[in-house]
Amino acid sequence: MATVRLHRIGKKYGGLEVIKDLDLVVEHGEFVTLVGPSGCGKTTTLRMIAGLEEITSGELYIDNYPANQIPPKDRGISMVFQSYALFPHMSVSENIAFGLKIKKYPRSDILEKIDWALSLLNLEGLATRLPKDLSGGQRQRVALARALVVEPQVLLLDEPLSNLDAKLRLKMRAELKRLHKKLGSTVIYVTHDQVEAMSLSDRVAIMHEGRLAQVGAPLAVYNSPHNIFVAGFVGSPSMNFFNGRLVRKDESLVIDLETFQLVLPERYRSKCTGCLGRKVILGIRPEHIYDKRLSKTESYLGNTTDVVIDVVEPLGDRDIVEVKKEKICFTALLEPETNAAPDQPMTVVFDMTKCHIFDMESENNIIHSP
Amino acid sequence: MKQKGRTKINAGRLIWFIGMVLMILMVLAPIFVMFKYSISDRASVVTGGMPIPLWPYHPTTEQFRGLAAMDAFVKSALTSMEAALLAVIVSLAIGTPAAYALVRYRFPGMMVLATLLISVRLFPDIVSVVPIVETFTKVNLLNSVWGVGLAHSLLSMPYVIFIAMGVFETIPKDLDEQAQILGASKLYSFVRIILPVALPGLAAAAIYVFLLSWDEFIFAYFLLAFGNLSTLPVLLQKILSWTPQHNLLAAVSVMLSIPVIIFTFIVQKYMQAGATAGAVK
Ligand SMILES: Nc1ncnc2c1ncn2[C@@H]1O[C@H](COP(=O)(O)OP(=O)(O)O)[C@@H](O)[C@H]1O
Ligand SMILES: [Mg+2]
Repeated sequence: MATVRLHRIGKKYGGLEVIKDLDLVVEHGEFVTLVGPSGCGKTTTLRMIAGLEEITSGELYIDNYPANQIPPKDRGISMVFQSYALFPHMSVSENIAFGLKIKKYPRSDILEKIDWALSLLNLEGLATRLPKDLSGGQRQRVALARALVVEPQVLLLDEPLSNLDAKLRLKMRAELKRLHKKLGSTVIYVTHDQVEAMSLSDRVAIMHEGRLAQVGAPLAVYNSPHNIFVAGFVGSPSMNFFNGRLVRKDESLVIDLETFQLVLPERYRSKCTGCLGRKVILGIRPEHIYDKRLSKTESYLGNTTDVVIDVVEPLGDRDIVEVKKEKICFTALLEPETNAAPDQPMTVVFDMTKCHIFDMESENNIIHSP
Repeated sequence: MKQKGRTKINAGRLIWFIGMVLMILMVLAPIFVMFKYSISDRASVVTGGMPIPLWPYHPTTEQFRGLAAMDAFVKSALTSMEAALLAVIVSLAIGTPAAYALVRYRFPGMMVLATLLISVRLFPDIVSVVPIVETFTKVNLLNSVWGVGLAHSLLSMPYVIFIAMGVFETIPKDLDEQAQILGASKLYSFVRIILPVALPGLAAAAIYVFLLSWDEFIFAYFLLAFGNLSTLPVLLQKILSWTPQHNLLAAVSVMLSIPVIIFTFIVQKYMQAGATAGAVK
């Protein structure tokens, strides 16, 4: 186990700058996920930590040692590739033993460790199989076993679940979490799936176009995204955004969305007064919009508006409902008791205590600034 | 009861079928003639004006027994075998690592180098044979099986490199990198991971080189013609120049063809994909 520290890491391919000024500290035993849309530089970052990709600028420290020039095999890391990279001509146990054999472990130790890895990942009985005779989930577990058996200080995982079907992915997600709890190793995990990132990690590092957009605990980035990108990326379905203007009305601050107005709660007033009259973007999550008929909380009642239902996607426990108000469309996550049906009128309530306000220019969150 | 749709003959398919049969006949006819002659008794070849029969009057293995007893033939077959194996070993030992380097370590001018490699075969053999024979004479490789083997490995090297490049390109780089992370040196991962995975494809290249050498005439002839060694194609030429005995010639030809036929079947079996199955995804 070890800490990993990235200090102002940059990566250029020729003239193309794909990673910019990345600062990140991963603590001893921590599970940190790099998450972001495809092409944002997650794999490149992970490969730089692994030593497979040269670091153009900045310093990498593993266990407080400068690691920029250390070859991959001496970094104390293991990596599971997105493709699993199992050696196709070797059986499961030969794959698992590969690293141990190179490190010249005694034969009895190797056999013992193979058994340990096989049982840890429920691979008993598959020891003599070739990779081509395994299912996707089994291959994934073999790759994980091969990475864990060398007892790495840091485990690097590049989208390890993305080749599995949805059901297996959920199962392996829980499995990974169990493994981490049991082994306590430092893990840096890469995924483009924010749900996966949120459910697995101690902290998530959200990347956007080669930069870190925000780092924090899953709930912290969900509750207080620092900018529009993080706000839109975290949460499913995505946060609704409305263009508006911050104005004063009577004693309170309101956001004027032209077709309707929403009153800001008292406690946001101090942070927002500086932006009076400015163009802002209001962000509110679908789960914070309710059906007025079913809403029991009187305090929201000032913030209602009449809409027409456009599309309903029933999930069972909730319905994803897209609604229209003149030209404005947005999404609400409603209880099935609403019995939402297309083209019906309804009145929705906004829980403005959960809203976010972003500056139109900087796209930073005015309410939850860093 | 007759069903109309089933019995209707599709004119297009019929023409296709007849065409296929004709093509197969065209390919098989010379092989048949060669085989027929090789087992013909003398009366079926020297007919004194009568038409040569479609099948020999008295099929015989006499020619083959004669060849087996003929020192020159046995010696030539051995020489051919040695030269071919030498060509396989040399061209693969050099060509395979070269191909791997070309695929894994992209560098500027790589395509130029690759094109130069294949350009050796842009000239007709008869043009390149003179400088090669001259060079080989200087280093005492004339009249030796080593010279023929080396010449054949030169000829086949471009093919080996190109086939091997194709094979290595299908092997994901992830495998190299994974081995590297687990502590393997470049050499270790090439020998333990990449080569075994590439083996079926490389076997195809090896067989190709073997057959190229086995059949090759021009270089073998110029390198051996003035000594007492000969490969099978050179022996065939020598036999041709004294008594063109059809059935004996045909028997030599059959012996020349058998490895080609056997190896072609093996190649087909090896060519079936699946070498890297299970490596990725
Ligand atoms: N070898 C390379 N040469 C040039 N550009 C590359 C190379 N590898 C990755 N990139 C670019 O770097 C960016 C980040 O890639 P990557 O780290 O793979 O993204 P992610 O894993 O987040 O999807 C992409 O725009 C990609 O096109
Ligand atoms: Mg990636």
